[in-house]
Amino acid sequence: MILFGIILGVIGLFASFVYGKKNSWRVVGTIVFGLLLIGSVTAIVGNDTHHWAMHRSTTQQQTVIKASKQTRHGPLLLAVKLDRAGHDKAYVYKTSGNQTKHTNPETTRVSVYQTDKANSAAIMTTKRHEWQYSRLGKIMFAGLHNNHELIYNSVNYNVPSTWSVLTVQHR
Amino acid sequence: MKNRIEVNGQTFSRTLFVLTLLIGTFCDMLNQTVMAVAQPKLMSTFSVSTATIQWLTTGFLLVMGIMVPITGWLTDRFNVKWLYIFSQLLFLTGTFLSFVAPSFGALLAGRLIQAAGSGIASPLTMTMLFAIFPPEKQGAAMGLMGIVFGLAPAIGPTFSGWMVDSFSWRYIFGLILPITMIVLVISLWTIKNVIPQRKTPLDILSVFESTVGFGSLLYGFSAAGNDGWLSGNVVIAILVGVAVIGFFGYRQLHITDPLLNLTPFKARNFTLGTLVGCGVMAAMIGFEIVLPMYLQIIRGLSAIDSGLSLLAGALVTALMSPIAGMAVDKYGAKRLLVIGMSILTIGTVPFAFVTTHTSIVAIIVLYAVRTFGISLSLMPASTLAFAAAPMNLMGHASANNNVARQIASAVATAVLVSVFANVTKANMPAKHLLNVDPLAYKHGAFDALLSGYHVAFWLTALMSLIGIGLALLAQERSATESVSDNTIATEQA
Repeated sequence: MILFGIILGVIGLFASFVYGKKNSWRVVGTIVFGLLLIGSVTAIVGNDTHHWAMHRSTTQQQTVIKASKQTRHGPLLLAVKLDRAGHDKAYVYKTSGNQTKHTNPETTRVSVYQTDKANSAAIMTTKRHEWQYSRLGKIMFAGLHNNHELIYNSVNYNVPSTWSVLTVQHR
Repeated sequence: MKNRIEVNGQTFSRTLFVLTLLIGTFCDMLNQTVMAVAQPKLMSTFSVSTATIQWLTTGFLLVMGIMVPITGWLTDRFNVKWLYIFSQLLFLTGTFLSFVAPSFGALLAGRLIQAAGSGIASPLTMTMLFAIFPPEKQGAAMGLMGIVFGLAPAIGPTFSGWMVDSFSWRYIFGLILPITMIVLVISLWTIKNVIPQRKTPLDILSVFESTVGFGSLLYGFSAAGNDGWLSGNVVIAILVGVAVIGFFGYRQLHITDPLLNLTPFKARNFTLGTLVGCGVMAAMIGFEIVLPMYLQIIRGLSAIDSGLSLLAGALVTALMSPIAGMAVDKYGAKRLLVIGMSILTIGTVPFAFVTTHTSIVAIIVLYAVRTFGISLSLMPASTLAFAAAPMNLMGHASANNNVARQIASAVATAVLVSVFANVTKANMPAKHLLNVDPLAYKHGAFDALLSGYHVAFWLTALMSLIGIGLALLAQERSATESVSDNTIATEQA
């Protein structure tokens, strides 16, 4: 709707200002279409910079994971340090299908909790925080393809007491 | 369009005449925008530095800047049919040399020869186009030229990126070559000598002053983008350029047969039309350098994808230019300029707020709004200017207009690139952060780049805002033209 407003605003502004014969129609057309254009453009900027017509939403997913490495001391949750300060770590784990995966330190905040139980399953809880359109917003900003824009992911690892967390430096 | 017409004692088909000029100008314009994307490939092919490769663009600009002021005199002195064919021959020779270039030197020589051809053809085309249309149809004629002016710079980088990625950089020139050959051959039949000649002597000192003055000034502004405004060679080049152009201007106003007649500037609408045209060129060229940088660096788009994102805008120009041209003939250029510059300003301001996640669809649509505004302003500004210049000085008026636009493009590009670079540098995170926390450095660097883009886009919006003010100062067509024509004709007599 906003995109349509921009297109209609531009064409209407041009047509009424250039082809308007009666002065009164010319003025009214210019003001109406000018405001439509400026309003639509402002809405696009507001949507982009302040997420107008959107709200924060969170979706949660739980996955049973396996250790990326087994040692004689027990299973390991490997944290690869990507910087010297230790702010950016990628956690490496395996899914039930034995596929090795890692978290993206750029978009993910990670917390690790160790349970008291030794035999419980290791659970990874992923929360995706994103901007989502309201019902009206979806219609207003249709076509912009920016629904479900990621704010950040948060990952909680709940690992059994037998697991260890090993931090290694990435070379 | 009436098919066969008689101008300057020559009967010919106006449709074929215009078609030849449009295709020729399309090749010229396309050629001016193909280099930027191909530069990294050419640097590795010829093992040359960034500073050296820049000469393919800077050298081109310099030679054009030297040739354009002389074209006013060339148009007066020589049969314009053969002058146009000569310009196309130069362009063809340069294109062929660039296509087969075995070394960087040969490629540069090819580009400079091309520039000499383009430098003559650009103002000459405008002059001839204006000469073969009656005043009430000149807007439509300029509108046709607007299609080429809008399409070629938008297609150029995409075309160049595609050629370099999929084939070889040589095909950038290889594809222009046959089209230029066709233009050259059909020019023999379709182009006619539509401007009356005068045997004006060539003032050698003026040629020297023009070459040194415009050459230095354009070099200074081109170098400022890379070397910074306080660099010794930039300061000296700009100062020498301004001083010598000052002497050149003084001389042109005080000799009987000037190389570049400045009299058209005495007509208010010529000066305003030229200034608005400069504003549009500055807002257009500078923006078209900065936006692809944003799309490629911040958004990670490839050269071809960033070019394709801007294609919708080019199509809007192609569609709107002829409509704007016809509207100019009916309602006058002032109306088009005021609304065109306003739409350009409204379409530019949102770019000063772009983020790392701005919708690409929004960018495509807003860019199309900008090109909508440009198509209502670029050629109508020329129409406003040329309509106020007397017919017997059309060659000089076109040369003046072209020189002014060229300088405006060079200044705008230099200012935008250097402001962008300085703002980015000032906001860049400390280098040691790259080792300590690379992700924080990356975020800081992106924020710094965004601040640079925001300031550059605000400057572009300011240029178009000034354009609105200048357009409002223009006088409505009928009253201005008759007064200025008579005034200048009297002064000439």
